[in-house]
Amino acid sequence: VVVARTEPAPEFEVLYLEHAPRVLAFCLRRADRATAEDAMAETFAVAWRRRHDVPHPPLPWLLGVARRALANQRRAAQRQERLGTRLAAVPRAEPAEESDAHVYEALRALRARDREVLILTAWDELSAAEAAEVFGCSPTAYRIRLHRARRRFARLLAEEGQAEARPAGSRPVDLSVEEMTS
Amino acid sequence: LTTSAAAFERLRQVNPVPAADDPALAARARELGRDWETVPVAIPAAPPSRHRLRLVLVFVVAAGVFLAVAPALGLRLPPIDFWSSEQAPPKVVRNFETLNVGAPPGMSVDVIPGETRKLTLTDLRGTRHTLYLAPTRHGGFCTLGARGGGCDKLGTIPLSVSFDFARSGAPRPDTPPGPAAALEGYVNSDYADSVEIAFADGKIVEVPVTWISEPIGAGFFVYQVPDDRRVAGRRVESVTARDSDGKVVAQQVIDRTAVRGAPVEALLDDKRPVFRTVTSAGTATYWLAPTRYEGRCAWLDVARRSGMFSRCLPNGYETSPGVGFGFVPLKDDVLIAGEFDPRFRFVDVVYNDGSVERAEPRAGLLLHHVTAEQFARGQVVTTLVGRRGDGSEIVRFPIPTQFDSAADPCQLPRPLGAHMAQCR
Repeated sequence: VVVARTEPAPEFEVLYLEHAPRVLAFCLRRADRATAEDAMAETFAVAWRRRHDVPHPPLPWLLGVARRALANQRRAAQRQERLGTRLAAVPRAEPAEESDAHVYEALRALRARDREVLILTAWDELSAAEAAEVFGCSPTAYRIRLHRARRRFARLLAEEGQAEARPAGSRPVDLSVEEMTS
Repeated sequence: LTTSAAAFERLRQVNPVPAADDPALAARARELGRDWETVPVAIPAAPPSRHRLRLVLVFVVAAGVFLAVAPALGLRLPPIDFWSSEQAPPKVVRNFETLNVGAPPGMSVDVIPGETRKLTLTDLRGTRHTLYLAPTRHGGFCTLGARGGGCDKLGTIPLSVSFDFARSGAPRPDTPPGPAAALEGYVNSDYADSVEIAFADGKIVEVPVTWISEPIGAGFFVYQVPDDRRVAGRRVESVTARDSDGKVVAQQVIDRTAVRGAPVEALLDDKRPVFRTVTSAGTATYWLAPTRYEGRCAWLDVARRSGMFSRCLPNGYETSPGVGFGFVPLKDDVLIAGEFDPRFRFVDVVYNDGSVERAEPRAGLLLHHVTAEQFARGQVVTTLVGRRGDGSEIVRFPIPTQFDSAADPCQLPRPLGAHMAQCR
């Protein structure tokens, strides 16, 4: 064997300094702080191991690795959840204003895949090509998914808005058959 | 209604980490970077010349193992890119072209025959099966395989299974169907991640799914039922699609003798009663609930049993033309229950004495109670008439009064009771 040191190569250091904040922001939008920082560390550990294969531009690739790292942590958390630990899958950030709450609720009500597609564009501000690389599909497929996700989100947001506006107890009541028949 | 653009803009505004170039974020990233270990590690010396070959072999074996165990671990294999798949031969394309011909206005599946592709599925035995697929203009697709084909025009059907009862050819119409010999179907990749087959003896087999990329966005499977699984007590009972958390997305019952409760696809926490009435067998409730695939399920609970009168509807199909209803014979009375598409504003229940009761579907559902007193008076349902809001007739369903109809409790094989005399 040859003994070496894992001192970061200068180019890797540049990669880290340039992209770590965005990777960290990406993770923080999807998990609590500790999970996000772990996922970011794991992302750059993978990047270090594969530093000769990191494509250019590196950001979509890094975010794709971060997404998988978060998914792995979430799966591990789900296993822990059975033991009593609870970890939510959707952003932890508390809404700054009460009016934001129903936006988060609508986001939570979406399926995970739709939520991810929306967040990649709305929060991470990635182009369709970049987001497609993170998501692991073609840009065309991503655009279709985004279109559908936006439509579903709008519908859910409208429903959330109505639910908020509806006074308590206004839920539709049951009607018996006798009331219906003439 | 909130527009898609407005909703999207609203979402942008609630970004919990709005600025990735925030100095605090950069400082924290730098701080985390300093935690990197710089301890000496041992790395292998230059490999011998045959090492590369060994690595390749290890990789091939590992890939084989992954392909074998991935479904068992709930891992979904990457989809096959639809657009780069082989074009279908002209004969098949012409076959798909016919799907658009002759459909009533608004009922065409709008398939795009020129984009038909040929794909190959592999079953558990390793047998390869050819499948032709073409997208529709509404985000769905049409299929053509060895066991025929079909369309999911909107691309929202969560699970679709077709099955052969015989080893070759179609089942004879004059003989009752035997046990399923082969299953073929698809699951929507938006909702489902795996497919499993349940047998009457409790055994469950997860079948390999070939995932196809957008615009298809679905996974396809074929399962040849082994001979020893075509005997009583060991037959295929149902096919179930599950999501990545293992939760049931949709289920198709193959053996109709299998006992069914509330549909497994329904999100029971969100169910709501649409109708409720008191019958001779206790309270009957007609429930409606959303599904994991953004569709809806309706079922009737009465006398500690559940029943459905049509399949759960996928997202977008709620307004498709369709009617499904049945009669639920109870101790001394009968319920008429079913689903009627939005065209039906009223349903007239016509009796043999000429009297008519007007029932009104709610949320596409109908429940009508024919009471014991009505039977005592000799009233028997003879016809259901579906009507529009202006009262005009859409369709008329004559109800046979002999044999297979349960519209009359007299038809029931039950002990002689007070009302039997009225029935004669």
